[in-house]
Amino acid sequence: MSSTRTTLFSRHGILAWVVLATGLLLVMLVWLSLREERARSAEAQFELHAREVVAAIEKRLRDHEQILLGGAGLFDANGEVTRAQWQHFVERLRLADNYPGIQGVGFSQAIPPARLAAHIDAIRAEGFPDFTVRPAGDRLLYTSIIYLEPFVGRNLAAFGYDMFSEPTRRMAMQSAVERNATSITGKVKLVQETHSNDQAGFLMYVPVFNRNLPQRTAEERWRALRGFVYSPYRAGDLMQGILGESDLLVDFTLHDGGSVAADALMHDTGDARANERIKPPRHSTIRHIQAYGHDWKLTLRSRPAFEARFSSPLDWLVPGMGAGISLSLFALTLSLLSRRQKAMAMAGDMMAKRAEFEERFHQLFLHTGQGVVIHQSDGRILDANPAAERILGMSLAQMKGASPMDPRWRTIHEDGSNFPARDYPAMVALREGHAVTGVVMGVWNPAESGWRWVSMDAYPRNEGIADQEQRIYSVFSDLTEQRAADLEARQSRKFLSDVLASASEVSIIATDPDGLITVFNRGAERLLGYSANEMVGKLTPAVLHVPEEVVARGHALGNQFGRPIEGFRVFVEMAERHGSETREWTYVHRDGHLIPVSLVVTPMREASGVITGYLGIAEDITQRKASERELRESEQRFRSMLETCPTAARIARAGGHDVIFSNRRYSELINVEPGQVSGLDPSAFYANPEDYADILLRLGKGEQIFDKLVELTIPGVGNKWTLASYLPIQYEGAAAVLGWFYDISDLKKIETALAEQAQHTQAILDNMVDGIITIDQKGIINSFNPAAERIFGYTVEEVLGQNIKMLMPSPHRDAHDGYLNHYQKTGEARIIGIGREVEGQRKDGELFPMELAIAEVSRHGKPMYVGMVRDITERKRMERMKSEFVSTVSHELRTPLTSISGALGLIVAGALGALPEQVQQMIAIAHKNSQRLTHLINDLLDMEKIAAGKLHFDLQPQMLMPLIEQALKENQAYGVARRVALSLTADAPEAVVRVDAQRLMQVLGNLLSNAIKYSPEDETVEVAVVVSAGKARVTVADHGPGIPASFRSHIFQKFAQADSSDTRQKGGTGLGLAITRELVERMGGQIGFDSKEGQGSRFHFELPLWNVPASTSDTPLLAANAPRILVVEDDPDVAYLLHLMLTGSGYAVDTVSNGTAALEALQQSRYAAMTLDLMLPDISGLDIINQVRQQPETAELPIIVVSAKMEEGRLAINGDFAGIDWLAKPINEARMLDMLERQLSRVGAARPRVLHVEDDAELHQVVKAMVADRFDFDLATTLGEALARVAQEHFDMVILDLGLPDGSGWDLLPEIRARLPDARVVVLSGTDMPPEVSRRVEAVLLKSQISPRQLLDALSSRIQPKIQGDRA
Amino acid sequence: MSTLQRILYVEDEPDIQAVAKLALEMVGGFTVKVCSSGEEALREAVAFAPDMILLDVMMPGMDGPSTLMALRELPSLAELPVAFMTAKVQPAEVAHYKSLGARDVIAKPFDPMALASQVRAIWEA
Repeated sequence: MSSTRTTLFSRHGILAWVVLATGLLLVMLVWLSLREERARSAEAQFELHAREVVAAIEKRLRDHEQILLGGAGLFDANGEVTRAQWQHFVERLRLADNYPGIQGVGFSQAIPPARLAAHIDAIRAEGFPDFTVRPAGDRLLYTSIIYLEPFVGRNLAAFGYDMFSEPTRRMAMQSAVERNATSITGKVKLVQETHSNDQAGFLMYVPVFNRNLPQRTAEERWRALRGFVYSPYRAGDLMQGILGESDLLVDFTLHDGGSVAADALMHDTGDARANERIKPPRHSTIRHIQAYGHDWKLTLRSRPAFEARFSSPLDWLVPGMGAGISLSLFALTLSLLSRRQKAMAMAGDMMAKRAEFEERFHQLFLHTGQGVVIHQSDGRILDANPAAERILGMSLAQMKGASPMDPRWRTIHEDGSNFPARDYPAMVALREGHAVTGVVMGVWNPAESGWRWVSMDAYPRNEGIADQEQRIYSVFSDLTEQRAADLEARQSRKFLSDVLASASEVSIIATDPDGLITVFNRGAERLLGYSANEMVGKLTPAVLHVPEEVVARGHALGNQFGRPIEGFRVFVEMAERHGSETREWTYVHRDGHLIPVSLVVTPMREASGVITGYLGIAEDITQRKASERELRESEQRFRSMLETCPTAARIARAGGHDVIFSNRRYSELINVEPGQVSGLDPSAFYANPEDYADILLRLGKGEQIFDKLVELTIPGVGNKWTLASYLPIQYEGAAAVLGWFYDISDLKKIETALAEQAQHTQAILDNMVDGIITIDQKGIINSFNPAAERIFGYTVEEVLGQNIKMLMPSPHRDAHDGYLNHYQKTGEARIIGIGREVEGQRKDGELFPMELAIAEVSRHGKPMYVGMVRDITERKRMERMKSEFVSTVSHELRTPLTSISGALGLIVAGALGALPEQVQQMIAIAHKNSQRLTHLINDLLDMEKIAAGKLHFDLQPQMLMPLIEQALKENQAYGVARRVALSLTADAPEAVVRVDAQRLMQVLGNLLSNAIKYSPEDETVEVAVVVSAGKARVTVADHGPGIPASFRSHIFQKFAQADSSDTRQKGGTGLGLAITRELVERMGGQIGFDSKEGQGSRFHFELPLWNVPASTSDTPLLAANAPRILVVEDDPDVAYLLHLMLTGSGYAVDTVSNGTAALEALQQSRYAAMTLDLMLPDISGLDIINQVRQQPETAELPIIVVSAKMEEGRLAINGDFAGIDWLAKPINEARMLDMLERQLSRVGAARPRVLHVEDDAELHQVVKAMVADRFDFDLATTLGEALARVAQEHFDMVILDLGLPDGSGWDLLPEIRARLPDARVVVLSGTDMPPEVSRRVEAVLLKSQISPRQLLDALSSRIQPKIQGDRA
Repeated sequence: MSTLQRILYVEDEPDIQAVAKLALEMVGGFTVKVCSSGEEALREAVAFAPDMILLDVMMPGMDGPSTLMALRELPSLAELPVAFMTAKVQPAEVAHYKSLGARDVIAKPFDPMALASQVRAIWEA
């Protein structure tokens, strides 16, 4: 306001002064008059008030006088007033209500001295034993207050008081008497002032005279005085009572007398309020009250309350306002003046300033870091400062004149959305006419090819009068860097707070320096169960801890630092010293359960180092603690385990040269006392120290070593082999190596032994002559030794993994899987465990006989089969050769023998005359021995035949007993010759057996002759026949030397005789029992013997009894739907045989013996097939066939012809039908081919050579045509030619027509046998087979050749054509 | 050279005994003692004081070779010529019998007419 001041004291200000003065003056006047008015009013009021007071006092005094007068009147009226009367009187007055301030009304009796004692007694007699008049003393006149009502409280003190004794009172009393008027005392102290708060007091007396006495003069009155009715008054109380509340306004002092001395002060209302007096009272006045002889001076002063009534705000308001108005006017004037002046000065200044400002602005414009763009009123850019150029990336020249709508501007919002030009602050400001500030936008800076962020303000300014002069100032600051920094800071803050917030696994609690929690993150919430709200700002971490822990730690810290550390300090003390402290504590969850934690406490400091708080990061280590405990337990278990494990174990420090733990077995292993093991270097025990170094190296790479073969050298023991395993482990917190050692020294020895044994076994396998093949349960070949390779012609590689059946010919090849399965399922073996001769097939297809023995073993729980194969081709050949040789030789031998035996027989018999004795003896010897030879040869031949299966048995059911008897008879002579008797001790007349009679005789003969031979002379040989259990047992017993134990097992062997010397004596070939056994077994029986040396022998054989078979009665159980075959055969043997064969294969059989019965049977039942003998007694087989074929039901019935022809052929080759097949003429091509195929497949040659011996050239052509492309066909038309060719050439097969011009084909057979032993022969049967038959029957079989297999094959192939593919 | 007169013939088979004895006595004119077993031969040999012994090979009890060895124990028979008689006359077998101490082996069956000269031939060799 300097300008104002300036104005103030300038001439321009005079006006203002004038105004002020005028104003003030006016105000003054007004104010003064107001005051005057006021004062007058107050004065008047005061006067009024004073009068009121005076009046009130005077009135009251008069009232009081009235009371007293009343009292006096009572005395005057009654003469004597009793205490009770007085009491009633005063009661009626209702002093308290009506006359506050009056103490009471009383009567004081005037008592001359002479009546004092009596007065006292009289009063005492009223019931006041202590009454006395006080003060005591001699006086001229006594007064005694005898009544004072109310007679309570202070008033009691006045009882008996002699007021006359007191000067002030006396004066008043005297005055009263003398003037005979009411009088009051001056200021007294009442006797009632017994308490504090003494007041000034006075009394008012009204004299009571005796009415009867004159009262004209004073003296008279003294004599007439009875007493005084009086009232004591406390001045204060009285005044108060009189004036009540009005003393608020007026203070007065009441003085007794004219002075205002203090001892005359009766009452001063202002006393109590002396302190409140600040200034003297405005009004005061003095009044006088004539109060019954006293002059009371009443000084009245106005009180502030009174004064206040007469002061009002107007007192000050008016002048104030006035002054104020004046001043305002003054000021206004002043300011107007000064303003004007100022304006003038300003105008001048402004001009100067403007120029300055413009300059300054320009500088600012140029240099400011903020961009400034000035737009015209249409928005186009007028100017832009360098900062704007820089920020926007454009020069002024480029920008000038451009409108914000110009597409060159590219702007975006903070969120990247487009910032339209119309929203530019400048445009908004332009449109709306007001400043727009703080708009953040991104601007594309083409010079930098980047966005710049700016905060832009736009200010519209009018720089001229007209609108064209309007300018918009856009000011923007480049926020880019700041924004980036902000962003970064925000990001990092966000990141931090995200971290803190989301750290839900780690509890973060921050506190202020005193421990009050400031941060309680999510992790803490989760861990402790409190919410942040409950904790932040409200509590310290103390609630989270176990108090005892804190206290204990406090003690520890206290001891450490020598001063007490408690409460929150416990947590932070160490952290402060060392920067942070990590310690394990127990947190207490809200629900009370305990959580072990690891707590890191860090003080947070600001730059100056002052601590701003503490940070506590806690991690729940329940798991860790549990893990630690588990680890400890685990280590414990581990140690226990190691201790008790049966393998030697030791733990060495990592580095491997220092044993830190070992179990007992380890110390046993290394032969060291258990106590001495610790600290040993295990490498000392390794036979090869490099082994251990290598082990350590591998362990160092992190390998685990298992089952390494390690040789140890143990001092005092020697070398041991162990299987060692090594493991790098953690042991008691440090890296270590665990080593297990399994002592396999023994095992090693065993292993070595086993290896040697395996080698040995392998050598055996490799070198043995027989083939060993092992197969698994599926038949796959597992092993194949060199001998097997040799035998089969395959190499090991060719067969391993293949099925064994590749080594078998058909049909076994196909059936083998079945055989194996069957065995595995049922355990029934055909070969396994049994061994038999079978055919094998070599690689080149050649079939060969082999002996096969198979054993089952178990390997890895699965069955395996070990087969031993012996190629018995040679043996077979040898056997065949031998038997052929034997039979040839036997034949050869027989011939000359016949002659010798014959000749000698003649001579011995004496047919040629008598002989000299010696000659006779010689001849006899010769003859006997030639016979012996013959027997021997026969026996030999028999054995061979039996062995070759060529012995023919003509088995017939017949009665047994006749045969027995016949045998006995035949041997009788022999027995007689040796003086041994034969007796039949038991017989079985009903026994029927099915035997070959001749052979049975042979058996009996052998047994009997043996028995006779070995019986001593005169002994008996007993024969018994017993039937039991379907068998007939024939026993031949002798009482000879018996059979020694050593011989028992050999007795049935060929050429076995107990004592060869005996042989010479007893004869015999030694073949007897062997042959006998064969014969018995062939007839279905069994032979045995009982014998003890020295106790004779009992030879017995059993034969099954023969029952006539019922049609189905004793056949095996058949399936209900077994196919039914009709057997048509008149020869009962053959019928029986067929029956047996067929039922044994599961067929049901009906047998008929003639054609008629056959036809009938066919009518009655359905048959699956029929066997037919052609030679039937009644109808020829052919007719039967015709009839059967004509019936529709049996047109398709399979018929098998079983023919008995070809007997002569049989004889010619001694029944040796092996390798011969039969074909009936005319030839069925398919059948012939089939047969040829079959036969020749056995030969195995690529292109077999066949000799066809046939006289019918045409037929030959036919046959040749049929088969020539597969075979090399040669023709011989006569027997002679055939013989010659067979002798010279090799043929694989001979097809033989029996009907040759120069002989029977039969004659060729022996030759074929001799020259071409391996050749197959196909015999073409003769014309006795009607063509119709052959065409209409399925197969023709020869009875003598018949094998069950053939028949069944023929049958089954016809009955179940789909299942069996083979053709008969 | 003394003549062969007395022959001890050891053979268990009676028929052959008869034939051989006849052949030797009748044809060769020797004195023949027949023993049916090696044991009997040992008992009788010294007493009989043969010039030569003919031993069957296949005999029960003591067979030919055993009998020979036993006989050789006897001082008076230690050097006596001995011949075996057997059907097994393969060259190898003959060598074997000779190695046992026999002078030679006579094959069975023998020709009774030639037996005597065979024996004499062995004795003279």
